[in-house]
Amino acid sequence: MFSSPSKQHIQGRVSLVLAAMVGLLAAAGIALSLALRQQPELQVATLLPEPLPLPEFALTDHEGDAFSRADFVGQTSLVFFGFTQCPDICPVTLQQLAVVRRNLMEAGSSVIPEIVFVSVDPERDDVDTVAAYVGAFGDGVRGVRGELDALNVLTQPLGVFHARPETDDGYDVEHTSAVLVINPDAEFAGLFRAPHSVDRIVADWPGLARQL
Amino acid sequence: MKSLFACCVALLLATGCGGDPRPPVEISDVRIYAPLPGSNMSVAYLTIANNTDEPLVIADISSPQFAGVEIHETIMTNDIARMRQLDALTIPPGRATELREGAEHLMLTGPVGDPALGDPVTLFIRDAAGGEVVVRSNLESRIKLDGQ
Repeated sequence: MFSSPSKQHIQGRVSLVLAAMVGLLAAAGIALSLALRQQPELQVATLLPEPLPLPEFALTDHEGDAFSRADFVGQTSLVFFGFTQCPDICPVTLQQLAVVRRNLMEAGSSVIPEIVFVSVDPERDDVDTVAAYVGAFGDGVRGVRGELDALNVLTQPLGVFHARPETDDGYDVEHTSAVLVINPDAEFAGLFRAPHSVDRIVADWPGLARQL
Repeated sequence: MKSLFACCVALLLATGCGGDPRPPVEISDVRIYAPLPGSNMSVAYLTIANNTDEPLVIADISSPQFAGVEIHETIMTNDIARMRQLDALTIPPGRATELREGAEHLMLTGPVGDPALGDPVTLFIRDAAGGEVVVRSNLESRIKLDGQ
């Protein structure tokens, strides 16, 4: 014969159930909170689950000065890899980034990115060529170049692709079309994938900048 | 092959062929950009409408202001931008093809002299049968910081 449960036993079970429900709700709340923190209202930006520290690299900027990982520290940067003889996607993207920067300044954004153009065509893009090229896109655009080995020190750990297939009359340059977001700790924190849109990048910027 | 340009040599003066009031080929939205500083290349974008009932095959384009004009296509796959040269551009009957950013475009190589903004540029666009249309425009600035 089974004995009927005591009042104390029943209260214990209710407490357990309540505790479990509270625990589940808390876990759900934390999960929701994390999800909202990680992906707030981003339309086009992609945040890396964990920012990736930039490697130590040694390149040269468009003024002929050394350019290294330390140059990314303390500011947010938008980095695009391309080449000056590129007729289509490179100038289009750099112009878009320059407009993004100008729009953010006009909107009073607390985080104004520096635009960094890294040439992946060391044969044709010497310092003077890169300087002339980035100068066309206004202030806040920095050009960077380096020989292939030095360039690969930066690009390979980041998964940035560049290649130089031969053609009948020379060579083409193929390259990653995404724009990388580097945070003030010199970490690869996110990216914008092509095709790029000024309006969408600007719309995403406050939510993205909060999480860098 | 019959040239679709045969009865309309000068595009902007073309008044049409047969009973169709439209010219057989219409070109619009022409933008020819000056090379950027440091660059020996530039680009032209335009829209070509084929108002005929036959495919229009653009086989050759040249310009006195550039050593070379090539039809190119930007291809984006897996976040990688590649360019591919096209032998020809085929526009189906009754359709228009827009040469635009990030897609098909005219790559202009080797500017003759030192081109400046506003300089006139002429493009000779020829179809596979040898017909020709002439497009005239002026060099525009590539950089428009109020653009999108």
